[in-house]
Formats: sequence, C-alpha cells, structure tokens
Amino acid sequence: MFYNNITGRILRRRSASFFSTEPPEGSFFRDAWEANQDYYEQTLQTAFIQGIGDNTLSPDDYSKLIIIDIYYCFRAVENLKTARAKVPSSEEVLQALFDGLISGYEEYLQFLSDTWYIIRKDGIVPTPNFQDYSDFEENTATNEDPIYTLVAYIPCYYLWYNLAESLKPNYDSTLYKDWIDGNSDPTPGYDIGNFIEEWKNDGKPWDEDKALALYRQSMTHEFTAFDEAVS
Amino acid sequence: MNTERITESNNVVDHTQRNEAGSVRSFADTAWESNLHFYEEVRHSPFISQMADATLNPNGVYGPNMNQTLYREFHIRYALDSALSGVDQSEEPELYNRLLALYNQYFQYNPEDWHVSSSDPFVGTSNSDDFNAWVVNVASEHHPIYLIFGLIPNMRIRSQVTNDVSIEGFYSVWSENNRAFEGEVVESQNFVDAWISEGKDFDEDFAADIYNQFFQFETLAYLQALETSKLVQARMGTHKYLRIR
Repeated sequence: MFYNNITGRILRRRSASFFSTEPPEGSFFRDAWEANQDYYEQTLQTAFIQGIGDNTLSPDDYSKLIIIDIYYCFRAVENLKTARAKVPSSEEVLQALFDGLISGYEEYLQFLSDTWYIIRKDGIVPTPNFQDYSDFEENTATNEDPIYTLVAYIPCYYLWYNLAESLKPNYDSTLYKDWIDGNSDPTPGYDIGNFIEEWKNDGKPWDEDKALALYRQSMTHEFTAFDEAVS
Repeated sequence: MNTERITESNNVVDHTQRNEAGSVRSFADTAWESNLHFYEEVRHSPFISQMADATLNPNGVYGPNMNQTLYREFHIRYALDSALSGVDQSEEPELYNRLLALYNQYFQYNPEDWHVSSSDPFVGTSNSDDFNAWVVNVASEHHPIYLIFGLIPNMRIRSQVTNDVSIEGFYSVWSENNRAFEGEVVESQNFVDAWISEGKDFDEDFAADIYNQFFQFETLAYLQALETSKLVQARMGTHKYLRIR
C-alpha cells in the first residue's frame, strides 16, 4: 500500500513472502495488540465510530476530525524523516521501510491537497491531544532508536484498520463508505510488525517493556482522538 | 483580523419595519429577483438535492466543500475587517455596526471549532480564488456600502435554500447553520434600502454589477461542488490515496 516500487523490491528481495502477512503468534505486534484490547474496545464504543456504523455521525464532526488528522499527518512526515535520518546506511531494509512510510504519508497529503483543499498545517489548530500525540512521536523520533518510532506508529495504522473492519457489516447502510474503504488495508501495520520480529530475531537492540509503553501511549492518544471528536 | 470584534456587536439599527410596511420598493429585492434564475440553479443543484435526500458523500463532497466555504469566509472576514478599519465608529455608527454585525455573523462556522485559525491551510478552487480576490478588492477599493450589498447573495442564497428545500436528518446541521444568516439578510437589505432612500451616495448600476458578480460566484460554488466528488472517486479507484495511516 505505501511502498514505492524501489522499496518494495528491496523488501521482497530479502524475503519474498515475509512482508504483508500477519505477524505470527507470540510476536510483539500480536502481543501489543492483545495488551491494548481495552483501548480498542473503548474506541469502538465512541460516538464517532458508532456514528459511522449507524450513519448518525454529523458530517461536521467528521470533517473536523479529518482536518485535525491532516495536522497529524504533516507532523508524521516530519517525525518519520527525523527517525529515518538516524538509520545507519547498513540498515538497508529499515531505511526502505521508513522511505515507504514517508512516501505513503506524502501521497496521502497530496491527495488531501487535491480533494480536501488543505495544503499545509500552518493555521490548523490541533487539540491538546493531537498536539501531545505529535509531540510524543517527535520526541520518540528524536531521542529513541528508530525502531521505536516504528512501534509508536503501529496503532496509527493498525487500530484504524481494525475499526474499519468492525464497521464492514454496516457498509451498505452508511454514508461513510470512504472511511471504511480507506482503512481497509492492514499491510502497513503488518510490515512494521514483521520487520520488528526480524529485528528481534537478529539479536539487535530491543527493549520490550519500552516498546510496549510507547505502543500504549499511542493507543491512548488514538482513543482520545476519537473520543473527543464528537462533543 | 480583529477577533475582539466578536464581543463588540451591539446597538444594530433595525430597519425591518421599513420593508414590512411595504412603503419603499426595495432595491435589494429587485437585485435578488433579477438573479432568480441563478438561485433556481442552486436550489435544484445536485449538492442541495443530495443533502435533502441524504445521499451526499460526506467525505468526498461535503467536507471538501466546507473547507472551500471556510476559505471564502476567512476572506470575507478579512474584507469586513478592512472595511471596518476605514469607518469612523463615532461618525458613522450605523454603518460601522452593520459591518460589525456581518463580521460577527461570518463566525457562524467558528474557526476554533473547525480547528483552523486562518485561511493559511487552504488552497482554493479557481472560483473561490476569484471570489476571494473580488471581495477583498471591493472592500479595499470602494465604499463599504457596496461590500454590504455585495454580501447579500452569499447570505441570502444559503438561508433561503434552507427555507425552500427541506434538509433534515443527516445534513440538518448544514441547514441549521445556514438558516442563521437569514436575520442578517433582512438587516443588510433594509440598511441598503434605507441608505438609498436617505439620498446618500449610491451608484445603483455599479452596485448591481457587484451584486450580480457575487451572485454568480455563489452559484458556481454550488454547481461545482460535485466536481470534487468526481475527482475523489477517480482517485479512489485503487483506494491507494484515501488513507495510509
């Protein structure tokens, strides 16, 4: 979904079938998701997600979240570039993974420029939660090893996918089909999860407790984003 | 832009009795009637019809159009702020208060609520860019009475369509927000009619040109609304761009 051709070739040369499949049982990806089911369940119950499902979400509330999410996406590009700059040249796959994530966000922002008419984050006023969320990821990108930046971004990809999956039974009756369609691809999350497993298996530096704490902090911000979106 | 003006609105002159008495042929109503064919296009546009039957795409059409509305309204505020700066409140209190009331009305879509503080995040359609340049130019180059008159189509189209078309349920929020402009339409129309009847300087031909131009900008905005949808649908073919988080 978010890899450009060059990046995809690098990844697939390394392991033809490894990426874009769900990480295995016992992986950090699966364990972290299981450990945060409470936030997933709470997010499912927010008025925003329920409103997408039963078609009662105000189009104004929807639009407002999209605008503020655009701020987050602009910051994500900056944060991922910060982390990417710290990746040593010997880590070719990690470099490619970051490049893919960055180009994915940039493509999304280009799409928003063409359709939602928003071309910069200047003048967008984030809620304190979105400000804190982006600052937290900036802090992670600046002060932690790049692998932990990947961890902090998993909920951003994978929570939204799961929320969209949960809404598929309502697909025909909701006007928010675009939202469900647009979040229907789990592979960005899977790719990060599989890369982390390979990283760990290679014996590279990894602090599971730290990773779990970062993951949960992102989940906290994600839940709050949905929870505060409908007043 | 002076946001403190939000709290300063008071003592707005009420001319409503004038029209209700029917004693004066309204120049503002005449201008409206001469553009009715445009209004009918708006009223029957797919954008309005699809809001009425709750089939309008909130992601592909409504949200992007709200952004264009916000973009234009920021420039209306800039224009009104510019006009206010050129009016001495003590010498022309009625004119000042009319501009101030409009300035405050255009916070109907509260920027803070929409998480935007200026027009900076937005890029305009060609129609919005033309509108923005026009409204700012009218404010900076001409007497404020022409800005007041020129903004009437912007307010009256949106408020009248909420009376003429039943938009309930999913898009009732749009209807409620835009019906709120109705009061300012009456106030501005009566203000202009009173201005004319009092013999104050007013070039009716020039004013009509400005009014018609504003009307056409508004009409185009509604008619072009679904062009956004086509673009979104085309790009959504792969689902690649919609969301990559």
